[in-house]
Amino acid sequence: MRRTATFARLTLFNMLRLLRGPFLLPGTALFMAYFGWAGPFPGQSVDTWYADLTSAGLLIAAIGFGAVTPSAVREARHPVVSTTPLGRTGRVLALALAAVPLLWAVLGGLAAWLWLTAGPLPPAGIVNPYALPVPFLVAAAGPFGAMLLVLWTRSYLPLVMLALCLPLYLVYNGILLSERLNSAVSRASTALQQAVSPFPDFSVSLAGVGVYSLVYTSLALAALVALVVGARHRVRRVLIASAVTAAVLASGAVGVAVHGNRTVWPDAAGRPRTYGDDEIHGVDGPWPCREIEGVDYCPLPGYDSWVPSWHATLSPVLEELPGRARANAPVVWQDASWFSRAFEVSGPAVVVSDYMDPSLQPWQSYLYATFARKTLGMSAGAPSPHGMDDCRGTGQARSAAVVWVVDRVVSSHIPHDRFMRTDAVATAMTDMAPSPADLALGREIVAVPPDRVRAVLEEHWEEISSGRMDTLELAALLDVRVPADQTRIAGAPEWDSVFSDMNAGMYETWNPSLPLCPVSP
Amino acid sequence: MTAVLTGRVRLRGVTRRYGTRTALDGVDLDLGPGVTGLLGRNGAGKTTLMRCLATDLDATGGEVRLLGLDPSRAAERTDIRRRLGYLPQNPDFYPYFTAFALLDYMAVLKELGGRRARHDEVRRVLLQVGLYDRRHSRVRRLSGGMRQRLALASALMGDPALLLLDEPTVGLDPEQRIRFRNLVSRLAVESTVVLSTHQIEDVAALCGQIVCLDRGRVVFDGPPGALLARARGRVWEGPGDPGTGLTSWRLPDGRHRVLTPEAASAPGAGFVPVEPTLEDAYLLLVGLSGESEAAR
Repeated sequence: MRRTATFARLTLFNMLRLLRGPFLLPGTALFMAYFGWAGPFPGQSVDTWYADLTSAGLLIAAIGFGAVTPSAVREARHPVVSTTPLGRTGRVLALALAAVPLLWAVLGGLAAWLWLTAGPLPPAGIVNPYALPVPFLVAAAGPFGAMLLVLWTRSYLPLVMLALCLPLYLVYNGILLSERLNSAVSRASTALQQAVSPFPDFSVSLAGVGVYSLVYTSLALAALVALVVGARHRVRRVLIASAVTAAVLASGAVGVAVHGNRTVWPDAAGRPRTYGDDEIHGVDGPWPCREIEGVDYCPLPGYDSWVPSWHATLSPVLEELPGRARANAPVVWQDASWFSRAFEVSGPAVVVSDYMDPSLQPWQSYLYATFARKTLGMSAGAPSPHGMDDCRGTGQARSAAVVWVVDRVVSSHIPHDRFMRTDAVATAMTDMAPSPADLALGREIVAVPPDRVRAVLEEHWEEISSGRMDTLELAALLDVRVPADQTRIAGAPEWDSVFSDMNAGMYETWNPSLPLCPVSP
Repeated sequence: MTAVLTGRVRLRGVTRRYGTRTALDGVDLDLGPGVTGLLGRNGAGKTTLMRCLATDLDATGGEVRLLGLDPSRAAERTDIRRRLGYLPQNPDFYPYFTAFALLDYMAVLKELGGRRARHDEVRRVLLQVGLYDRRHSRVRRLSGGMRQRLALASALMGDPALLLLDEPTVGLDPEQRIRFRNLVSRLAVESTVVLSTHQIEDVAALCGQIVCLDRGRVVFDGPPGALLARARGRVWEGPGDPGTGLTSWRLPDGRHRVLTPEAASAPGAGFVPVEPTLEDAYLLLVGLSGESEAAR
């Protein structure tokens, strides 16, 4: 009891010293300034929130490393008090533990701030509570790592190395370095990431992954603590016991990592793993889809609040098409950016992800074009969330129809930005492998009076959306003169010629080997 | 528990080996309240003995009882440490602590209670060693003598029942040395103080008991008077250097002081016997024990 009180007093003493030290408060201030400058992004999901928290955990571990180093040097190089009631192990642990609550307070404060300022509350997604302690355990590794390295080196060398490596890493991320150094920093960075999280597909939502990660991180940290207890200990049996304990714990951590990577992540056929909705924490079965104005939206569990923004983005596409086009509207299927969601939709689907911010014009154009293509029946057949049902519309009238719809919706937002409108039109065509005739019609159709195009679409919707109407027929209906060549995929000179007002070489067919979109009877 | 913690040291056949080298060889000691001077040449085993008494080193063999407790048992060792003050040889303090913070840190480790009690104790020992005015100075800004006083202050904290001082007066000026003697003699009324030193005058001024080590063995254990008695009739002063391997040195007035191994006739013409000092007695003791060892 008396020793426990002494341990607590020493921890408090060290805590006050750390607060007055040269690293903790300035480091925290810099860290907070960085996060204040870098984020948060409005409309964050729990996954982006957790990713920020994980990065913050690493940075705070680095701050803890620096903060504890001077006091660790005190214990390693100036051990004047070898005959006090509280022994060396107690002194060393009291020092490392003194830093941990301070670091956790900073990380907890940051977590709350990122959560509260992320946008509408609560942020979309589901948090697996088992994953939550992981960034905090990572942060705690900093002080213990400093203790271990300083006890072994009995110097400030580890801090010097950290001071050199951290800027190098930041420079590596921002500036091109020599290939050799770049590669070395890249390897070190990868090794660090692997050590912190050896599991692929890490998401705060997934049930099994969170538990694996928590067990792995706890074992790794416990191994580190065991090494700290024994580092350069004078008593041989303590040294051996700590080494054996650390080896057992580290083996356990490696075992968890290997087991997780072998048995949980890859599926039976060795393909990349996909996750059903029931593998998300607290979800029992497929998450329900929701229909709005004839369009089905299938969000990830916990992402229902995002459906209105997708609908707001995509519904103008349907408004430009005949009313009966709604029957062809694809399912809007949300995939995760941190793992692959098991695809549970039959029929055409548009895949959205949380990184596709609908408020950004490039993503808007992408979503308009994809949604319009699928509504116009441009789908290879077997549905897949990852673009495997894409097909080319070479020589098919519906390619030009897609371009017209994209331009109509884009121009409603930015009517005077000619560059952006042309860019949206050209980008929409890159996915459809257009012929010279398609290119010419796609460029000209945007200049045809909208009512006239709308009338043609209304009258010939079945022929166009089935792929039975070819490009030359549509051009004739709209009185647009185009080259007769509608079966060959246009080459780079033809692209540059049609889009001569844009930079040469800026656009070309994205994937000419796609199959031709099937024609419905 | 208080009854057994009243300040006693008892060693029986204590041995300490470092590999094949024997630093302590069958040491027997009984120390009570008061100051005991520990004398011996460099490498005689003084620091090893002090570290064993400080529970910093385990004895390889024999029996050690400190304050009535067995330091080889973890729980009893902790109890001993609660009542122990130890000033090691060449203390190396963390240079970025202030004097006050260093002692506060030591006070925490010595379990001197809550913040207020600790700070009161820190102020008390700082005043005792005359460093109160420098309490906010960092250790690296203190002179060698001041650091030695700081180390002494840390050993004095908590009124230890057993106070071990290894070369405590190194670097102290004469005024501080007198102050140190007064301080230690006051503490020794109730505590057991072991003073390991080469400063014979400190021993003469403070110690009621002298233990002399040579090659890890106790070659003398008794009061200063007994050591002096051994030297009577073996210390001479006279003109000129008698030579012939005797320990002698030239005095400021040109005469020579000579120590003879046996109480015998004068070492030369004109030499007369004089009253030995403790230093003479010590030199005769370690010189003789060294010779007898060499003869063996």
